[in-house]
Amino acid sequence: MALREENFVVLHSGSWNTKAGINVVDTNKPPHVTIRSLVGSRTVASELTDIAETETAPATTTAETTSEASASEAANGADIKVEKNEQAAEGTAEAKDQAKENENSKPQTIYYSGSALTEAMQQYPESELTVSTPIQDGIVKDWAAMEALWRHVLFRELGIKRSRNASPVLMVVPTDWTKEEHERITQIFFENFNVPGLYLAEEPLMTLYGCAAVTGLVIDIGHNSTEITPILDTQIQRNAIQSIPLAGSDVDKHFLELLKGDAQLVREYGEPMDLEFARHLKESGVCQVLNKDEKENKTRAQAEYNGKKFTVGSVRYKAAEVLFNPDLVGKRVQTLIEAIHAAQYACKAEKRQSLWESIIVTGGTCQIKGLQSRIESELSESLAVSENFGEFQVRDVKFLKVPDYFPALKDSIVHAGFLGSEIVAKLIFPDPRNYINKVDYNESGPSVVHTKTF
Amino acid sequence: MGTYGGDEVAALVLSVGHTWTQAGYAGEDTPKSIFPTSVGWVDLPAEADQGDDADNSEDTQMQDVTQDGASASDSNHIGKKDADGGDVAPQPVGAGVVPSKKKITKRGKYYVGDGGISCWRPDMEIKSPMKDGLVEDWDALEQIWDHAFLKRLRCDPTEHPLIITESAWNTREIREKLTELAFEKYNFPAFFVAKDAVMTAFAAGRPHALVVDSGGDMTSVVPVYDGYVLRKGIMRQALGGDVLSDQVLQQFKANDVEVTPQYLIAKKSPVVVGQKPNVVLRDRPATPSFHKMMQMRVLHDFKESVCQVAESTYNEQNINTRPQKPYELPDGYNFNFGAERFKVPEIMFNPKEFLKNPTSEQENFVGLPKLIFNSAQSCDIDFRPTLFGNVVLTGGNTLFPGFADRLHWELNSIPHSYKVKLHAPGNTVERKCGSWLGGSIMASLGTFHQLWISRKEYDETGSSIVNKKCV
Repeated sequence: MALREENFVVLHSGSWNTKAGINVVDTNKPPHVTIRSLVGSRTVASELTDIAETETAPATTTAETTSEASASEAANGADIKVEKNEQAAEGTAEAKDQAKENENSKPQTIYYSGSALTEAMQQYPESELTVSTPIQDGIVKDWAAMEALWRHVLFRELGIKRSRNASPVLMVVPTDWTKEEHERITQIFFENFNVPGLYLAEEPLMTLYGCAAVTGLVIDIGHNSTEITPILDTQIQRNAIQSIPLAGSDVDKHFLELLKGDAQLVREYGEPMDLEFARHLKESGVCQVLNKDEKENKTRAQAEYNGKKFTVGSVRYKAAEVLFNPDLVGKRVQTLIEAIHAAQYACKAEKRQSLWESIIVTGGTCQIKGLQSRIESELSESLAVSENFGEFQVRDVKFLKVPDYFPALKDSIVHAGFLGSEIVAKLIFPDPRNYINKVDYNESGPSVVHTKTF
Repeated sequence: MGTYGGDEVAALVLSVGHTWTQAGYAGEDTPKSIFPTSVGWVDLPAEADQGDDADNSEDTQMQDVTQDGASASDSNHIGKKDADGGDVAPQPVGAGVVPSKKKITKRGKYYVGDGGISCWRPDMEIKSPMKDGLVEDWDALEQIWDHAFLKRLRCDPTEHPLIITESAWNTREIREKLTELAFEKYNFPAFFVAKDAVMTAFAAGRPHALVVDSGGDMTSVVPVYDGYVLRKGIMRQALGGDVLSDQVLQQFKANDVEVTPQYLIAKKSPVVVGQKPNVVLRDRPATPSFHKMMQMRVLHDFKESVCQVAESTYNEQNINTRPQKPYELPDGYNFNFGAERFKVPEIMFNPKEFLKNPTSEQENFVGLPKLIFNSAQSCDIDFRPTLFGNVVLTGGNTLFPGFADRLHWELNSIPHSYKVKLHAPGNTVERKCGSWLGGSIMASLGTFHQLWISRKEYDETGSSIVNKKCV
C-alpha cells in the first residue's frame, strides 16, 4: 500500500506552539494547524463504562473529551480503548492489581487541547481544570498530556482516522531529546496512533533545509530558550550547540515592566496589565528593535486589546533589548551575541567562515521587526574589523532566508522549519526503507528509532 | 559470580580529561556530549554553623568532604538548576542534623558546561578537578558527573553500566574512590575503569602501540602491549597545549601587545597592521582565573588558525621565506605572523631552545621525539620493534598542521635500527576523543560483559574489587 502525499503529516511540538500540517503536495503554505501547546486536564471521579481493560498507571486514563464529540468523531477520535502503559514499567504491576480491584470507581483524567480547551476553559472553573504545558524547559514532562495533545491534533484537527491510518508522520524534535524520549515517541505513535510510518527529524536541520542550505548557523529564539546550532554539511555539531534561557518570555517580562512605566499608556488603558497583555502587544507588531544609530519614531503607536484602544510610546523600542543585555531581567547568562560566538568557537576554525556566511534567525521571537538587522550589526561589530584579518576570520555576516520560489513563505522565516520538514517528508515517505514502517516496528520495537532515523 | 549480561541496554562511556570531558553511549562513534572540564565556582558569603537553613532555596550548604571517601549527598537534589542556570551544590544527607562541631567551610554554586563557565560573572572562579591526570577536587568532579549524566545525557544511571577512562598512572585510592562514587551515589548497575592509553590503542585497532598523548596540560608516552600497559615505559611531562599558549601570551607581552578577550570588548575600530588597538573596554571586573581562561581561548584560536610545524629542524633562514599569516585579535590588533608561528609548536620538539623563561620544573623538559625514544628504551628489548612500528598519536595538541610528519621525520633521524610507523588519525574527533572511542568500542563488545564489576560484586567485596578486576 503506497502512501500518498496528500496524507503525509508533519508535526512539530514546541513549548509554546504546536504546528502540524497534512498534505505536502504543495509545500508553499504555512502550517495547516497552529495551536498553543497547552493541555487542560480535569479529573472526574465517575467511571467511563466502556473502558474494557486498561493497563495504565493508577488514576490516569487518557480519554477524548466527550463534551462535544459527535457520533462520528467518537468513533475515531474519542478512543477509549485498550491503552498501553506509556510510562516506564514502574507502575504496571500495581496498575494491573488496581485495575482489577477498582475497575469502575477509580478517577479518570480527561484532557482538552486546542479549541476543545478554549471551550472547556469557559465551561469549567479554574479549580477543576488545570491548564499546563506538557513541554517545559524543552523536555516533555507530562507524557499523558503530550499524547492527548498529539491525539487532538492528529485525529481532531487534521481529521485522520485512526482505524485506517494512512498518514505517516514526520515528527520534528529538538536536538537534545534523549534516546529514551525518542523510543517513547515511537511507541506512542505506532501503538496508540496506529501510524503507518514515522520519521524523527531534528529541528535546526529542518530549518536549514527550509532555507535551501546544508551548512549554516541556526539561531532559534523561542519562548523559553534560544538554541544556537551550527550545522556543517547536514551534520549537526552537537557539542557546539548553545542553549541560553533567554528568549520570548523574557522579552514579555521586560516589556511588561516598561509598559507599566509608560505613564500615558497607563492612563489610556486604565486596567491592570499582565504578561498576556505584554505578549499580545509584542505580537501585534508595535515592538521594534533599533540599531545603535537608528532614531526612534517619536509618534506613539496605536494598539488595541480586549476592545480598548490606546497608544504605546517609545518603550516599544526597548522591549527586545533584554536579548542583548540579560541584566535587564536580572539574569546572569550569556547574551545572544556571546552565545553565538561561543557556538562558533566550538567549531573547527576552518569551518567558521561558512557558518558566518549562512546564519538563520528563526523562532517565534524573530518576528519582532528589526531584530535580524540588529543581530547583524552587533555581530559584525564583534568580528574582525581591520583589513588584515586571519584566513579563518570574517568581517561580515550573511543571513539566509526562505528562497523566493516559495512566494507564500518567503518573508516569514519562522516557517522555514516547517517548510524544510515538508520537503523532507516528500522525499522520504515514498520509499519504506527510509522511514520506520510498521514492519520495522513490529520486528524490533521502539529501539528501531535509533538505527533508522538519524 | 555476578556478571552483567544486559545486551540491549547501552553502556555509558565517560572520559574526564584535564581540558575536556566526553560522555556518550557505547557503540556510537562520537561522544554525545563534549564540554570543558573546568567548572565555575562562585563563593557565597559563609555563615557560622547552621544546620537548618536547608530550605534556603537559592544557596545550599556544601560540607567539606575531604575526610572520608563518599560524599554523602542526597541524590534527589542533584541536577537542580536555579534561575540563571547554575547547578545548586548537592545537599548533604542529614543537613538538618549536622553535629555542631562540624563547621561549614564553604558555600557556593557551581557552573558546569560551556554555557555556564563562559558567561561573565564578576566573582566566578574557574578550576579544574584534574591535575597531572589525577583527580584532585572531588566535589568538582561530582558536579561534572552530574552534569554529564543528568543534564547532557539525561539518562537514568541505574539502567546503564558505566565505563570510565583513567590515566595510566592513576593511583589505587583514586580508583577505589571513583568506584565508590559510581555505585554509592549514582547506583550504576555495573562499572569498569579502563586505561586511556589502552583505549586509544583499541580505537586505532591495535593491540600493541606506543601511545603518544599530547593534550592541554601534559604530554605522555605510554607503551601498550597486548592490551596491557608496560609501566616501566610510561614517560610524561607537563608540557602541553597550555604551556604553548602561555608562551604565545608571553611573546605578545614582550611585544607590548595586550590580549583582551571578547567579554571585555565594548567597541572596536579598525587599525592598521601592527598598530595599537583602538578599543573601548567594558567595566567587567573578573577573577584572574576567569580572565586567564578567556585569554586562553583567544590563544587557542590563534594557535589553530596560524601556527604550523616546520618539516625538519628549525632553520631561521628557511622559515623566514615562508608566507606570513595575518591574524586579528578580538580587540582589533592585527599583525602578520611569520617565524613566530613556527616557533610555538617547535617548543614540543626542542624545549631547551624555544621555551622562554622556563620555571625550574620546565627546565627539565625534553623534546617529544626524545620522550618517545626514552619510553621505548625503557621497555624490554623484545617489545621495541613492535612499539616503534605502532606509534599512535592522540590529543588536541598534536593537531598542528605538519606535526605528524615532523614527528615521523624526527623519529627516523634518531640513530636506531627500528622501522617507525606513525598512526595519526586525520579525523579531529578521533584525535581528541581517542580514549572515549576505545571505551565505546570495548563496552559494546559481547565478550566484555564478563569483565564488568557488577553491583553485587561491589556489595560483597567493597571498592577494592576495582584493583583486582580493572588492572
